[in-house]
Amino acid sequence: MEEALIILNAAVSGMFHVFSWPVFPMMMIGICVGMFLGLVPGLGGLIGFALLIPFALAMEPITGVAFLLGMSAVVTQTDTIPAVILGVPGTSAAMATSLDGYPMAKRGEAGRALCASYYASIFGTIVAAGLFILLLPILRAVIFAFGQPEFFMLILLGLMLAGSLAGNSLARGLIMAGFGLLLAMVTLETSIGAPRYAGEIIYLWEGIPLIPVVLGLFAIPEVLDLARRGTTISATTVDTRVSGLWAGLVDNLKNWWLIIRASTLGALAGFIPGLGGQVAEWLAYGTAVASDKDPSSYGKGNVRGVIAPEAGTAAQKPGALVPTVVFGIPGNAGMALTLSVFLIFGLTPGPDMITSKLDVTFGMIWVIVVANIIAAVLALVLQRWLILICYLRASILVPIVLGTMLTGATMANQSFGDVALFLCFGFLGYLFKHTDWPRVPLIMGLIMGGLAEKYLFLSFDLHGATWLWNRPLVWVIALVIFLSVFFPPMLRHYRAKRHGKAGAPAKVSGVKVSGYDE
Amino acid sequence: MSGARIVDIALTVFFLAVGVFAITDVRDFPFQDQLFPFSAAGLILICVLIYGARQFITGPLEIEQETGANATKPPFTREQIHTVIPLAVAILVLVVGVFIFGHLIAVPAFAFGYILLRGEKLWIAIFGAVLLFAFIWGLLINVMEVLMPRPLIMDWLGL
Repeated sequence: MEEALIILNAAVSGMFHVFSWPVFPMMMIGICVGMFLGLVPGLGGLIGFALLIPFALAMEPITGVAFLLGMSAVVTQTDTIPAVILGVPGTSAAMATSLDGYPMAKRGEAGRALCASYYASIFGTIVAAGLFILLLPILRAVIFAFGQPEFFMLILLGLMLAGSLAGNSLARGLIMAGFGLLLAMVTLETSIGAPRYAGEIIYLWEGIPLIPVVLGLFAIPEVLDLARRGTTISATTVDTRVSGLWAGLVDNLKNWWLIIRASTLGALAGFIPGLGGQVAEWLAYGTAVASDKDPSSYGKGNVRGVIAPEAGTAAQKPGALVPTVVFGIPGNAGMALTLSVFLIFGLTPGPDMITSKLDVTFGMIWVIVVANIIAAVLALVLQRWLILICYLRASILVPIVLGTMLTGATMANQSFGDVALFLCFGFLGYLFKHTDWPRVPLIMGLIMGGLAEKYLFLSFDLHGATWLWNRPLVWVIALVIFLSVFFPPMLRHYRAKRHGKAGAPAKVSGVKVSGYDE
Repeated sequence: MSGARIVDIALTVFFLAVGVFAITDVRDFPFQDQLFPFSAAGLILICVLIYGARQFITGPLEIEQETGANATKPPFTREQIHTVIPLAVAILVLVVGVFIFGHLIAVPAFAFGYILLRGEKLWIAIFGAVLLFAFIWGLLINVMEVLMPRPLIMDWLGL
């Protein structure tokens, strides 16, 4: 009973944080930026994170986090608009939605499809928030069993999962994660007063700054490709009238059980590092098809094919937030960047975030829920004008985004070294993107490397080498790493050998779309 | 051998070199400062060797290219490289411009020139440049009081 009261109290305090000054107006600005980024195919939440982080760091911690989460929460909501009306997903997380949303639009039900998707996003985040509340007592009990060695192993698990699930090659993913870890170690080693991997370059003695690397790795390739395509979407005449408000709501209410299942799967996909929005939506779409009496109606304009992926993608956001704040394992690259902001703000993931700072954690969950509701209302009201943003020509968009990015890259250190780094990683990012080397594990390695080294150092300092065999939880996590990362390819190899075929690498989803999964 | 395959091999060799450098660079450090770099470099080296051996024995791993309405063709054919080079040069011009003239001048000037060269109307180019100038000068320098790096031209002019 006392536990329930503590949780309820924190939940209410968290809601007050969201509506306090200046948290709410900053969250609104974040929402507007996120809506814009979702609408323009080729951009996305990760570019938004990289652009907004320098601004967020100038704010109070809660305000800055709300600003960023408000942006990231709504990117996957407005990406539905081009997906449904034009058949072109704004981000990779709206692919499944366009399968049924676009046929609905073609038969004059665009309003119904969009309204159904907005409500599904709202319900998805609410279900995910509910799951968090239900799981909270268990998390609170579990977290206290963790010490430095367990946290180190958890980071290892997160990195290994991210490396194995992003892209189609385990080796490439792990190499990129390792590269990210090495980049995190570039610094002046204060204990011996010698530079580590930094040589005589004084700029690198304080470590490799995150923003130029992220902007270079993710934004330059997208902007280059956007410029090469020449246009975001070719102009066509479309019906942008908002109709079907009630039909969309009724569709959601009729399919409440589907929403709960899709949201649960989405939250789970968010919880597991490396999966992300694209997998969440395909899992949710899959459950809608599998549970329907008429699977052949999917792809032809079945509203359940819009509701399920939208609920799944929306639920993925709070789902990814939980391991980030509780265990320090980000569920995806966006959350990895959020984690880096937490660390700069002095919000260390761990027991505090679900005990003394539980209100802050709730505040973040509510930001995602409230941002989704506000974005849905704004999208309904402004839909007719928002669609025009999809037609912004690359010749206008590219120099503005590029200029903003280059300026954003320099803001952290106010150094030309940032510009050079931005260019180097832009070149590497472009090669990585087009040769299928996953970039997300690299970023996660760079962000989590510092924490991992700290935990490893403390583990040896406090326990010697005994923590490797004395602590059962370390063994449990090691077993999970083996079963989830190394066992599946071994099993595939064994099966392929048995059947006399070359083992094809497994794919998390059968589709690779342009852009990237945040 | 395709362009993508050559880049893939070059990246594999690059990571091999990174792994070897990472180990040799910290070999004189105390054990606890070596431990984590050695582990990360070891992970890279083991995976690079497995990846390289697999490429050699079972043939190259498929490079999955983008699909969907929003996809861009891989930039490794002669025809596609020609679409990348002007853009890469444009980015380089922007970066060099920022080094020499600073963000406040180079970024709006770049936007103005790019938009105009791409065949847009003059007022759109002016609007883009003014927008970026307002962003850097108004929001960043005046409101947020961000210190921009000192451009080289200031030193050259002795300012």
